[in-house]
Amino acid sequence: MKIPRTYVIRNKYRVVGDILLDAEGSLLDVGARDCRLAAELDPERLKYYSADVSGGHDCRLDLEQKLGLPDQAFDYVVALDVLEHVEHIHQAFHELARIARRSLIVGLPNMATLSRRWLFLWHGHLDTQKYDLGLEHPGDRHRWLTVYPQINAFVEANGPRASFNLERVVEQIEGRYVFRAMAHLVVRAGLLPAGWLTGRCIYVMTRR
Amino acid sequence: MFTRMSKYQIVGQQVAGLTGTLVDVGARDRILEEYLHSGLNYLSSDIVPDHDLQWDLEEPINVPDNAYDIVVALDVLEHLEHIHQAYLEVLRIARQKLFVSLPNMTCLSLRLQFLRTGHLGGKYDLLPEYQGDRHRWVTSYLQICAFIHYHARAAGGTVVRYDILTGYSRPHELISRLPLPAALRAYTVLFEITK
Repeated sequence: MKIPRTYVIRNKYRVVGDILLDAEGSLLDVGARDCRLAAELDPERLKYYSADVSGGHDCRLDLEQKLGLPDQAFDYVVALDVLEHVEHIHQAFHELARIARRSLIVGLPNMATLSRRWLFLWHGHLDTQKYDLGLEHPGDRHRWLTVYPQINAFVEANGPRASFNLERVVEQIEGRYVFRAMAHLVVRAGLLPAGWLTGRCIYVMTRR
Repeated sequence: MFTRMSKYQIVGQQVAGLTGTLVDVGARDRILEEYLHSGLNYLSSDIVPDHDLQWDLEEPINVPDNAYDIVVALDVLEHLEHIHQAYLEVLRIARQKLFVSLPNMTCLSLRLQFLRTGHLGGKYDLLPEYQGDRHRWVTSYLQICAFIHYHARAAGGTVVRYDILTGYSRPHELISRLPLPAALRAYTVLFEITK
């Protein structure tokens, strides 16, 4: 079955806010960082909980380990740009699915957009320091080179295994200002191969 | 220096006059042994069994400092999350020489491949199932040179660099003949560290 895909130029937090417009219950924001997502949610409907590997959050979670939370502990679980930082990405995905009761929303970056490919050609890097081999271990970094066809296949394979249906994919078009709007039009018109201008895919899954 | 010799040939050539024990870390099929003279005591090491030594390089190596005359780690470190610790460990246990090679994932042929396909190679794949062994670092020429030199000098070693031009694809074969900087031509970089 073909998965519905929409193309947006809004930022990822607004995208998730829109997806969860009518949602009610509890939400766990995994890898919450500065809790930016909370500002896009209706606190009257959704009780927001933040989680991260560092302190200062409602939950302290290390995604490299089994999560010490009961099955289906939260109605909604959101992990935006988190899994690519985790060595045990498969286990982490299934742990997030285990603690989600209704819906799991996962965002993954596409590191092989056209602009990143050009940057790699000219400069030998991917417009981020997240892959750098520095003189000392950086600690947090991207542990996976997430590219469009592979992140799609990863979620499409592992969602059903975790008893989740992939309902839709929101593709966030990269670029700035007017270029992003132009890219949006190009993608919607199907003028370029899939994934060339998609900076991030946000996968919306619901429990069967 | 530019070379079209293989990493095994270079190591074999550079240890030709040496005696003692050589440990081949991440030995896989022990191919290096074929390039060594019989005066060296060859020991293979890998994470899997059926080797002389079974070491997990993600952990500290449980042998004393300077335990082996020569230590060789060819295209191994980029597979490790704790690449810094592993490099310091192989530096620590080498008495005379350490050979380390790393792939240059930012050579021009791979840059062009990534431009064309969005795929840097199977060692970076995110597959539906966890594949275990893989490249955990996108090792670029400038960064691997800085990384190797910095820690070798801190350990009191001197470094000789070999920019190995030989690759595995026809485009690379052509590109490696162009008058370009080593960062674009070298497919593999081999470092000989003498303590």
